[in-house]
Amino acid sequence: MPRILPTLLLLLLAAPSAAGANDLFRDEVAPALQQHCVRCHAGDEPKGDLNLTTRAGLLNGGNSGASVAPGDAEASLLLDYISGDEPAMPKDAPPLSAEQVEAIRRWIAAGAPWPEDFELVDKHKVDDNWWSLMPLAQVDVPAIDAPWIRTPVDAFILAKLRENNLEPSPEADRRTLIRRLTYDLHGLPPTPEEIEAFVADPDPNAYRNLVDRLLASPRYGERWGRHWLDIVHYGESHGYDKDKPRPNAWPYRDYVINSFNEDKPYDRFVAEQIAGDVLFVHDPQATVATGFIAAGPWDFVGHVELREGTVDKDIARSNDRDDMLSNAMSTFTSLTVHCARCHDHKFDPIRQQDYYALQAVFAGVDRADRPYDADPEVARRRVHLAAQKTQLDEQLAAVERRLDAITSPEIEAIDSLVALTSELAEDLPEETKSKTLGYHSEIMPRADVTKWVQVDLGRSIPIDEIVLVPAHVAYGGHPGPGFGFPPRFKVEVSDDLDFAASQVVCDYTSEDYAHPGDRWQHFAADGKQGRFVRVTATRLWERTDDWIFALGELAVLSGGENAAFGKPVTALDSIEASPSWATVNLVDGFSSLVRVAAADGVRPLRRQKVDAALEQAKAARKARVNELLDDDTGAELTRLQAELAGIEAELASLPEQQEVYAAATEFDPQGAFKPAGEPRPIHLLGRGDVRNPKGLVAPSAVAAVRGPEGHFTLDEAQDEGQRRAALAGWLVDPRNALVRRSIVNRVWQYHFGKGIVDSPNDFGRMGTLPTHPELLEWLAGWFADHGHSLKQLHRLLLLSAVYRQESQSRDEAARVDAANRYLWRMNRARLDAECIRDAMLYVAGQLDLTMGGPSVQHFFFKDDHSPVYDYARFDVDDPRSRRRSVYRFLVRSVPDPFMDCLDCADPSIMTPKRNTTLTSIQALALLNNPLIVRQSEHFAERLQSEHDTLDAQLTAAYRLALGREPDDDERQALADFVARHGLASACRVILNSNEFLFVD
Amino acid sequence: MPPQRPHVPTTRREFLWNLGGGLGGIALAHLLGEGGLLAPAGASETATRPAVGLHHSPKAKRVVQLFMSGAASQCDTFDYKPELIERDGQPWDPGEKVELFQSTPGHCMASPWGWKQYGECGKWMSDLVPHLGECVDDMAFVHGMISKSNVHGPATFMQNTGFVLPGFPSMGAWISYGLGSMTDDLPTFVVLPDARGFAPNGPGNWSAGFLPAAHQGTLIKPAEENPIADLFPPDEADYITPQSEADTLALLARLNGRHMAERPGDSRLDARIASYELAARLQLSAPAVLDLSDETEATRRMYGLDEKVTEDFGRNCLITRRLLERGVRFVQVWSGADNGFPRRNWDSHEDIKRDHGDMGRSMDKPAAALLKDLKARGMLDETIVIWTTEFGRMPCSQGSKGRDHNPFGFTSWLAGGGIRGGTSYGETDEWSYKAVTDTAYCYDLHATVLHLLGIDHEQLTFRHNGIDRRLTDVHGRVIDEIVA
Repeated sequence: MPRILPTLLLLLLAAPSAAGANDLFRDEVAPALQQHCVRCHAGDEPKGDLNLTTRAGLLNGGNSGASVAPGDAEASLLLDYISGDEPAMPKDAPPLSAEQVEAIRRWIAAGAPWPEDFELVDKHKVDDNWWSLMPLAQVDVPAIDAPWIRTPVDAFILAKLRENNLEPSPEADRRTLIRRLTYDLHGLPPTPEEIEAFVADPDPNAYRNLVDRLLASPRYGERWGRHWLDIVHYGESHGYDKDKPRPNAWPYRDYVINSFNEDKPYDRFVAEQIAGDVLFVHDPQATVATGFIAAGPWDFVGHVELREGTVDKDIARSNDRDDMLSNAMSTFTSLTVHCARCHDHKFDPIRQQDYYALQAVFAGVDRADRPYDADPEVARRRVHLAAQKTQLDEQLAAVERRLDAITSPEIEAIDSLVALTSELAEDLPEETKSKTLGYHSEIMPRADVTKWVQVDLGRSIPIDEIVLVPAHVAYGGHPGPGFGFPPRFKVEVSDDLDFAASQVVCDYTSEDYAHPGDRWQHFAADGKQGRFVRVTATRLWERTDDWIFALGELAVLSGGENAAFGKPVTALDSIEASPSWATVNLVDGFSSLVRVAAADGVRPLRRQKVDAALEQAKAARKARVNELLDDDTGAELTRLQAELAGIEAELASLPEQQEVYAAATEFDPQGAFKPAGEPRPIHLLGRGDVRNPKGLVAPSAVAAVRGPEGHFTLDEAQDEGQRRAALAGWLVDPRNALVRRSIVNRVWQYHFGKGIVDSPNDFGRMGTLPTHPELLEWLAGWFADHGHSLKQLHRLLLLSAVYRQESQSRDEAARVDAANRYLWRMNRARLDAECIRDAMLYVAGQLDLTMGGPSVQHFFFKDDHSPVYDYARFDVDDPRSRRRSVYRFLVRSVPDPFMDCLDCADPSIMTPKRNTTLTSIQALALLNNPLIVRQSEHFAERLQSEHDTLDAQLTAAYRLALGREPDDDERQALADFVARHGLASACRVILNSNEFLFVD
Repeated sequence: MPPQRPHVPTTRREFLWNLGGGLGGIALAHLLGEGGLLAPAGASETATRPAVGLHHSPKAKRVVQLFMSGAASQCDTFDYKPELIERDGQPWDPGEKVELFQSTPGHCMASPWGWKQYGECGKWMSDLVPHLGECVDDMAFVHGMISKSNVHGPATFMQNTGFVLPGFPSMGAWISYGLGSMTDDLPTFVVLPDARGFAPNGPGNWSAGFLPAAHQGTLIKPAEENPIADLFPPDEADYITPQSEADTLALLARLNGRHMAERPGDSRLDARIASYELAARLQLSAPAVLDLSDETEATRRMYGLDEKVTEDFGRNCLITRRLLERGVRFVQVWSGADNGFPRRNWDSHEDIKRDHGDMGRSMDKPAAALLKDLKARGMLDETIVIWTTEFGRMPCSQGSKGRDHNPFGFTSWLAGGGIRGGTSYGETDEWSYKAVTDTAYCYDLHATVLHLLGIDHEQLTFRHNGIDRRLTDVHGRVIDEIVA
């Protein structure tokens, strides 16, 4: 609706019959209502239930009754509300002008005419001239000549400072600069040697060289990759209830770090994360990049356990897509599109339609493990071999069709046997997927415990055979086959409920039985007679540090029927977790995988036998045909088979594919969680409610962004890859200024502590305005002109005079601009959680700089219904705790309390900017957390091993941790303290000091 | 109860805890003695406190939230339906398709517990909660509760944060943000989890979300050797002694003071210095609040500390009262851990009698004791006690003895400051299946609690990712009918 307003106004202008009152409405009343009223009195849930955007709304009125009595201004509530000395409306906003009130009075008196079907639209929303939505403007660098200026950036800054009667601060000393730069680019302090070298460097380019050296180090990608992971809310467990780990999330983290280190052009970086798997098929890392789409939380119960077709299932899926699109739009465009889920955006020109069109972009993908080749060479080889294999398969099929024509009386006999058997098989049921798992005992803390489960056949009967069907559940690292199948057990038959006397069918209680995997275990009972059949496990199966007995199905064959089917089952104990596990599931006709038996007997069991016979007959036929082959065909067959075997062997010999948790369209189903096949239909949802679907919505981008084409033209509308590729194309379109503004602002923020726009994820009306709009514009253009290179952008900003300023406050400047919006000094920063932890390990000589690979778990882990993550039960001296913090395993539901209290990003929410809090809990953590307490000791040991005298040790401690030497006063105080409490205690003080935690 | 024998501490940490924070105490005394080093008390915490004043005069100033994890059944506790008893075992036909979480609806199943009337208001309560029955004239029941999710994780988030998604601040965090602290000695928002483990979502349930971290719940696990993480140095740290600790804080204050003097105009440096003083205060206060030795035998028995079944929840309820006495603003107490097996929360799909039996017995007496104790001490008037769960359970059977999830109708109750006792608001249908009259969502409960604390729920906001977020999202109505 928003865009029709101008047209309607034109129509109004053209309306010939509408006399004065109509003009009055058009010229004065409508603009007044639009300016003052419809911001609140519009939409599905207007304030006071009064909708002032339509004539019907006006006349129907709201909670207080009709707002207008046409023809009678004095009786009209509307006028009452907006007039008087202290008008009740607009609430908390400036009143209407006297002229506007008078115009409304006259208009009502004239009958309050309102053109048919005309709808007022919130003026705030139709304004798509909003700064961030406009194409990039050409901006000139301010022409200021001042010696302070080192780069064009400085000219912008200085111009603004002068406008505000402010002067920049002097350049900080080199000691301060190298500490600032090293933390900024590496998240670590500089070493004493690096500091001294820089301080003493006579090269006029010393600063520039330092910046280049720091940017070239792999530590840079670790530091700046971590910023990116904050923004995209990357985590390594699902979140919610049953917060399962994602062991294959880390390749995305490494992809991010490597991308920063390689200085991947930002537009390529963006495109890869949205649709790398589609756009760059030959680069496996581009597939890994779609870990971006899967980075956020995922509702395990909603996806895996809820049945298809339920309301909650739809809600879970809708929430899932909401997370994907919010992540994409917040991260790349700094737009709050997610606000338009229940209604049109209240403040920005984003329609509900836009929101669901973006849901449609992600409607075909889910989050799942996805295979890829870490080595691009291997990836290419695999694609090549697969193509060859397809070709050979076709050739072989052609030859085999020729073989079908070969015949002999013997072959004919086999053929008729095969035909007959196939017919027989057709009458028998197909494999049917199981809906239940089976029987599961209570969980034991040790293996050698006896458990039994038994079935009551109802009466004593002769038994031919007993079949144990192993359960199959992938759980806690166990792949699934033979879940819970006991290594030691026996099977008995008895007429006595308690098996006081019994006949043994088989007994494997004195030595371990080979684990059967998924194979059914048949035991001949030779007609033994009994009413009860009992399976007794005497050694349980190991799950994860605990032991259980489970069985998928128990079949008791008697006279060709399964006599156990549906009969009462009892057990020593059982975990009743219907519908998965239950005693009744032992004889419900289903193993964990397939239908085993049916109410009318053992037909599925027979099907297995018939299928085996068919296989045999076919093999026999092949052997006969081979004997009768002519030489050429035989040779061709042999050659093709050999080639195929070669290809298959080579395929098998390729390094095993890795998996990454990423956007996926093909994956192994898990419970009710299955691939979509093709994009799920997306409806606009009334008030965001899945029970209120409106029209179908096609994928597209946000129409209000000027420049790139928001409408997608897709060759194949149902091709999910094309949808994401189209969104990627829209984002990286050179005309999309928003994407460039968004990233240069983020980079600015991480360097200076505050963005040019201080709401980095909201460039809309509710966000803050840029402090330096021209600079932002100029930077965005410069960035695009310089190949979207982040390293060049860093260089530009870091070499500026504004970055090199001191952080000292100055009273006269603070009086004008206490918040330092105009950057008359550098901002002092408190180290973030990762910097504190890494720096501590670094100065203590403990930091392990190994890069990449699976994340290190700083907790005790136990897989369970809700997995246990316990940070207290972890040895802080474990070598794993020495890796950089960016390699920590990030659990959503149970974040590391130490990092958490230091304002570490919560991976459940996008964190474009971290809070900085200073609390007593934080002080306690920094004093007493075992990590700090131990690192203080390591720090002391290091100092003692490297230096002989206490004085030298204290000097080294200061140089390592604070980048300077202690003065006499400090030296004395520390020496006295060490004399009483030891060097480790002194190190603990230094690691707790403000000077260690803040960077000037 | 066995006689208390003197306890010999076996570890240094235990020694410190028993000493009532001896180490911290020494450090604090030292700091106070130094004088001049102290920043104004509470400087660091208040630095993160927003300027959200009270919107109107409050009726209460603190809150206890008792959370029944796993979904406590309304029709086995507070929602009396004679019709359900009458039709026990008969086919259940509510006249529409019923979509259940795990199962298909079974027959009508009356509660295995009988029902009696209690108090002047004559409220019917089941025999599972007889002790709470003695408190009904102080309680207001909200029977028409509805949840937007039928799944534990999202629904538990919803009751705590108003949203079914992770990442939002919980009610305690919002109240900490809105009202700030009443003491410098203890955290504003304390969480006491079930001794058997965390509920679904874990610490996400008491997260500060996008609010500053200072507002998140501080976890206290009274049953563990080390009830508050990092309150004291670990045992293994031999080099830290009470004397070194005092000198450490003094030296740190001195170094930080010099550092700050050279960098005027940065209040964060000041706040960080003050945070160490607050830490020392916490070291002194926390062990004392957890030390129950000064409680009378009668009090201990009232909370059920002498019985195995009530001991854990009872201890947490008693500690709750002690926390409130010392100025803690918001205490969240959990009854029930995760949904695993054997059952350790209220999620009784298999056997309501067995599993609700255990949970009910463990909760009833201590919760009632807390109400009575607060009342006897004149504290109930200023304390809101709110009993919540993520959703209810079905009036029909699952299997033969269990009950499946019911998001369509369940019960919460409130008591204390500003609550009209002896009232019941809202109703479910004749089965206790669907809320039909005066329905309510968590938004309404949250709005009511905030209202009683003097906060307009529409005005308590925080800008995050482009939206002025509220505890009540875009909903919420103060339930005037239960307000005194």
